[in-house]
Formats: sequence, structure tokens, C-alpha cells
Amino acid sequence: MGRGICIIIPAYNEGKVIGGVLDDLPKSITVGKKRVPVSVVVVNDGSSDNTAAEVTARKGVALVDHILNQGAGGATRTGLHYARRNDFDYAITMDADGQHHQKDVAKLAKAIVRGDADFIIGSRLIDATGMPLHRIIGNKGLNIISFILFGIKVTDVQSGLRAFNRDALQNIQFHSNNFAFCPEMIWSAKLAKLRMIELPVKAIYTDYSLGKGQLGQSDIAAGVKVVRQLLKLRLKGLLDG
Amino acid sequence: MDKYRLLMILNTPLVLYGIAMAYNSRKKGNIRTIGLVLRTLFWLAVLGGLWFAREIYDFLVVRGLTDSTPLSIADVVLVTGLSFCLFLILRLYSMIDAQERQFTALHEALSIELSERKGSGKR
Repeated sequence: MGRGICIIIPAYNEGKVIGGVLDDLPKSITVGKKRVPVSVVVVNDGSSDNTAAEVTARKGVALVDHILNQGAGGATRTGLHYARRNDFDYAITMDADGQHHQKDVAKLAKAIVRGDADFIIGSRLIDATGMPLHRIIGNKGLNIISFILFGIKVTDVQSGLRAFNRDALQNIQFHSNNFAFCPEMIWSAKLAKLRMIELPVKAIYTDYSLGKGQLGQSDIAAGVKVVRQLLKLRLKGLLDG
Repeated sequence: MDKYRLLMILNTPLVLYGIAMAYNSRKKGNIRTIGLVLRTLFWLAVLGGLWFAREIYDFLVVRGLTDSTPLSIADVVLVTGLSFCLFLILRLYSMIDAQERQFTALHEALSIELSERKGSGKR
């Protein structure tokens, strides 16, 4: 018997908003008559602000401090390592910037506990109402590039909201430390023949999250950087097989 | 000595070592079977180019695709240098990649271990 669900939040300089994100998370999820406990771990990826202090101020939230800044992929991998090591049955990864709604986290949690799939992606693009147009275009462009390079066909390849059961926790492997980890993770799930589905989720866009952007750059610069990372990953995949 | 034979003698060991290295990487689990196949094909293509250099040159000259002079000693040195560079690049890539994976795995384990010892990683 495992320890229920582990919510993994990779965070880098999210001190302004992470407190609110943690306060909103459920303590348990009820599926049918089964009550599944929820634990939260924040992987602080070498933040220079008060992210760690915000996390430690909250009871029941575990904090793993990265000694060195590794990137979103590295922090997510550490979180999944933590979940395996502590014998959790399920894991959910989510962003620390407050863009995921608590009810969407619960939706993915219920689906993974019910056994709907081994690996679930919360897709912001199945119903993209409210998402800025340039983000829709950028994300769809990345979906097409990921399909061409890796043959993965999903509607939101860059979504940070994902759920894993034990099979997925054991079998999904990725090595990218940067944002190329998103398609690499899906690619690995495909190679491991895991059952994969997508569920529609709503992204909450605030001035904070829109201003910050991925990697703290403009959307275009971040998009170009992700495309470069994907090409590198594909080339590396060819060399490594 | 025939320059084409010299080219073969100097380069074949490098190519064979490159193939052996790919098999070794597969054995250690650093690359998948498809990676081994791709690397082996790459080195076999290099080997084919070296072994049939004279035939390839003749083929190109007959069809007017090259008007370069036949192989000289300088060319032998140049081609050997290029093969050696390719060999070094692949070897360095393999080593750096393996080290990077070991380092990130160590960093991951250490971060979790230290956080748990501090008490912040276990709730």
C-alpha cells in the first residue's frame, strides 16, 4: 500500500505567488468511496527570492532544495524521483505560477486514481477560451514541431499539469533539464506503451504569469529557445537511439 | 606503398574502434539498439568510403563530377585527420553525456537526501 498522491511543484523564484498556490491545494481527494491522501512537495530550483521561506511557512508541505539551478526539467525529474523514493501511488506535476486551477488538479487526480490512464496531460488547448492569441499560436506551433520531430500527437505538448500512476512513474524517463523535457516525457510514455489521455483544463492568466513567461523571456524568445532545445533533443535522440 | 592502401591501413583501426565503442556503449546501456545500429552504419559508411576510395574517385572522374587530382600523401594525412576528429568527437560526446547524466542523478539524490536530513523534505 502506497502513500496516495504526491503533487510536485517545481519552482524558481515564485515567492510572490507560491504561497497562494499551496494554500489552494486539496488535502485529500475522494474517488467513489475511496479517500486518497494528497501530499505536496515543492522542488525549489535554486531560487534567489523567498520561495523556500514561503514553502517552509506552510505545514505539511515538503521542500526539496536544489543545490544548483537545473531548469524546469531537472526540477520535475527530482520531484518524480522523490515520489518514487517515498512510495507514492500517483504523482501530479503542476506549475508554481498559479496558472492551474485547483479543480483541474482534482480532475486529473480523480481520473488517475480511477485508472482512466497511466499518464494524463491537462490540455489548455482543447478549450483555449481566455488564452491570449499569441500563446495559442505559439503552443500549437510547438505541438506541430513535436509531432514532426517525435511523432507525438497531443493538443498541448508544453502543459505542466500532468498525472502519473505507478507504471508511468517507473517507466517514464527523460534527461532534458530545460523545457524540452515536456515532449521528451510524452515521447518516453509513448515508447513505454503507456495508456495516455488528455483532459481539458483552464489556464489562469494573470499579469504576473503573462509578464513572467517561460524562462523569464519574451514569448517569442522563449518559443525560439524551446524549438532549439527540441531540435537538439531530436539530434541527441538519433545519436543515442 | 600504394596511397589508397596506406589510407585504408591508417584509418581502418579508427573505424573498427569506433564500432567497438558503440557496442560498448550499448552494453553499458548508455544507448539503445537503434543508436547502436545508426552508429555502426555511420562507421561502416566511413569504412566503405575508405576501402573503395579509388573506385569512387574513378566513378566521379568518368562522369565528370570532379576534376581534382588523384590521391596524394597530403590527402591521406588530411582524410586520416578528419576520421580521427570524427572519432574524437563521438568519443567526447559519449563521455560528456554519460558524465552529465551521472552528475544530474547525483545532484537529484543529494538534494532529496539533504532536504530529508534537514527535515524539510519529509512531511
